[in-house]
Amino acid sequence: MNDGCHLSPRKILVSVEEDILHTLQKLIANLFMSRDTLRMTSLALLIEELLELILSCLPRQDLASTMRVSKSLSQIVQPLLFGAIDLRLIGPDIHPTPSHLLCGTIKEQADLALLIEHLTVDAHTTATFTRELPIELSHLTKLQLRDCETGPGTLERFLLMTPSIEVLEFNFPRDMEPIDSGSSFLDCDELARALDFVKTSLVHLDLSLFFKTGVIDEADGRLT
Amino acid sequence: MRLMGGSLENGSAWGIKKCIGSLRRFKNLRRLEIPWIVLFAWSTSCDKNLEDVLPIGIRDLLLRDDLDSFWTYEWTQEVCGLQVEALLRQENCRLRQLRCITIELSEWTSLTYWDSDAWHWLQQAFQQTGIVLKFYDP
Repeated sequence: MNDGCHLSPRKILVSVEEDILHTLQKLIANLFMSRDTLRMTSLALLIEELLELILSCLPRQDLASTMRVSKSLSQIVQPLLFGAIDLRLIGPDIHPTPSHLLCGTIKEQADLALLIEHLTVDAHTTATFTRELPIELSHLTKLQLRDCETGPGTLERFLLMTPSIEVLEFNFPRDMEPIDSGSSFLDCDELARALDFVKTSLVHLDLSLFFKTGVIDEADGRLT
Repeated sequence: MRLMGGSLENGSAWGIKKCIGSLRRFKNLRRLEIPWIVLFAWSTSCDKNLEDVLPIGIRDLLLRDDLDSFWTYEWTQEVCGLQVEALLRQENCRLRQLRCITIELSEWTSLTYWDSDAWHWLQQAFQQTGIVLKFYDP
């Protein structure tokens, strides 16, 4: 994998990311097709070992990149460890993104998508998710949308698929132009209209005009 | 239509249009984190108060000062303080479940620093009603 003194650390990193994403694509496809618990556990362990191996190859001096890759990959792996109940799509900005990979496999196994209860979507993935996965996520109770390309229009399409949402976090960063509304202004009328779809189920609503990176603490509900 | 906001370093404009309006229809909402300007609009001239727009079952409220770094930002500490104080003056306030109000006070907002005695007085007054008033500096 690392044959080289001729490759810069950055090139090695990108190569590693692409390699592992392709590997994960195959493994996740296998996992979703398998209902066998033992096999799922084995796959999860295998992926964990793979992650450790990849991370050990990364240039140690590039701590930020290492952290980024580690975080991205562990969050891709996380749904596997929890039987796809807690799904976090936090993807590196390369093609194919993890959401492409996951949406493809989930769409083929639509009944499994119904099991997802918690969903976190980050940059570059929300639009793909709503476009690629037009099915109802009836079990989804917690949704965190942290996507610079998501405006109230995409939020509305998302909430149409998620009628049982109890916890919603929606970030609308001020320094990004949402692509779906064609405007750099947040239209609060559109936002209110989108939220109307979950007006009876919503227990916790978190709106922000900045990016957030933490997770909602279960104990006190604050972002940590 | 009036668009409110400001300009970014690259010259593009950004802001918000209108406000989210009343959230009273969210019957089960218990916890809400929201910027002042989304709840009440960019301008502070709105004649609504917190009781008018919050759902009756709200327990935990965090009011954010997002976009306070814009020069035209109007939600100063004094304006926010008076808005919160209005809850105390409300007779038969509907928000009987309310237990905690957190107000975000960032470094930008503190440029228009309101009298700290006023905040302290508000905290004491809310304490007597069983509501905790907290301040949060991100």
